[in-house]
Amino acid sequence: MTTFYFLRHGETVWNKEGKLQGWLDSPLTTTGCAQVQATVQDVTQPLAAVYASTSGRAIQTAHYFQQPVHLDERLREIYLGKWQGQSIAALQQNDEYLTYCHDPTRYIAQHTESFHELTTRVYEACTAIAARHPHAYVAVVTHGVALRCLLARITQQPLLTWWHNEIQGGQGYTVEWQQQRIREGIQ
Amino acid sequence: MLPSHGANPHYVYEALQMTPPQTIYDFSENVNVFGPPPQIIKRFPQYVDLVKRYPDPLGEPFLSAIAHHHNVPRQQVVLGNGASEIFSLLARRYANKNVLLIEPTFAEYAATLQANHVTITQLIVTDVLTWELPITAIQEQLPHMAAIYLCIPNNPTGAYPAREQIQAVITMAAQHGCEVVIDEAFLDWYDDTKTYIHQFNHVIVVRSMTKMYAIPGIRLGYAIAHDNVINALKQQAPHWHVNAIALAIGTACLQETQYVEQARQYARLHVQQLQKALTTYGCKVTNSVTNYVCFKPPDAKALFYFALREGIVLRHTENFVGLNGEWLRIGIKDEQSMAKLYAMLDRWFQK
Repeated sequence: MTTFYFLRHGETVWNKEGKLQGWLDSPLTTTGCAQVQATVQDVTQPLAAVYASTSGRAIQTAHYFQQPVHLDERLREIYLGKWQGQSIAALQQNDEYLTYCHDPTRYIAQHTESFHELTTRVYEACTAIAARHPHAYVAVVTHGVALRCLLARITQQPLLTWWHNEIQGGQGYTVEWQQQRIREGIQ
Repeated sequence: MLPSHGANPHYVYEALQMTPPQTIYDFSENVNVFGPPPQIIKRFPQYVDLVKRYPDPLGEPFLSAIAHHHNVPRQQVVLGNGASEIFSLLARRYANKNVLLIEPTFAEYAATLQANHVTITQLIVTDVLTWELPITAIQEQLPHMAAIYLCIPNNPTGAYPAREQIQAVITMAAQHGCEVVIDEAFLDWYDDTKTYIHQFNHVIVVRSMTKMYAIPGIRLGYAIAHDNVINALKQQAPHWHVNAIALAIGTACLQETQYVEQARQYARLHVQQLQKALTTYGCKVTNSVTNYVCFKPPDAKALFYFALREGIVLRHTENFVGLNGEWLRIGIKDEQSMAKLYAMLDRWFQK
């Protein structure tokens, strides 16, 4: 059985500044580094492998495990097109963005990736990783929206169930993959 | 956020929404501060004649000149529109395969590899100061890899790991059918006799004319490897990808032995001086053998911003894996610029 430790990357400069990143990137803040260090310390099981999305913030986070880091672009955050680099405060004037935020099931992706596309690729990456490590503990560093979509998919629950579940920087979830069992935190 | 390359200081100020001072001293790139060899500048009008004809498709006269320079047959050389084109061609070679990168290292490898859907595995060196290789971890990862990239002398640290370590990696790689890409872009600042050119069938050496001869605008680099590898790379390259002026300038540069020796001596002297000063200020400083210095001050970000306000642009390391933005890199520049740099460092560290 594969046990995943899924982590959101630590708080970044743009997280703090309230700017959307998507496929863009910014480095971890001091708080972000501390968040990750705390989570990494909770890991007591030896990890067979550590994976990260190709975004700098995920890579920076993943290297706190002090092991080889395997990059997978399928683990990236949702692509947010025109909104990337914009301030969340400014986007509150944007109806399309408000739908994405508050009514995701009604959101129709035009310039962004769709939740379906995101979920498919992240789930595919994790399936491949689980196949490679059928009896082991594996850490995977990914992103806020990607993680919520993934957790919804694993539990076969509607996205809405997880959507308003804010995931802090460095926060982890333990997932027994084949059993589709999820627990909050690293255990 | 901050631009991920050196050499464009105005982008740095723009990204930070800072007004650049009147005079800017750019330490963020590592091109020979003495500029292109004077003979090249003098001869430049003659190169105009080359414009109206197609360049030699094989890259002559530079191909033969560089093959002769390194004492290898021409069949073992592929030219590139900069070493950057070579890295692009290499990334295609490893498309959909696995490649091992030893970090911190030149960020462009990852960029080219990702564009070709290569699965990258990153390993951080055991010691940033010496770029000591994590041999055990490398041994564990190599069996899965199509290639391992080594930037030696290393960018951004300037360090050169122990030869026994490099040899160990080359041997292990051979055992697993893994290629070794060695980026020697900065070797000519150190010691050309230490090259891995023409030594092993599975080693691909990448070189560049850009740094030592100060011709980044001309775009000229090359790789030397086994004939089979070279042929495969050549097949992927566009026709006439190296222009006629680059070929002529590159050939002329190879005559400039005194120019190179002067550049090395100047860089060595100033690197030593700078390393000493930074150590005195309580910074960790890498064992650099190139024309730049990499160091860890108590607060890299604060120093970076302080320097910017004074018109001095250092190279941040936010996008170098394993450095966490806690280090800064300084390229050796002319004496006047160095004086300004020292004055700024004095002010910063005496506070």
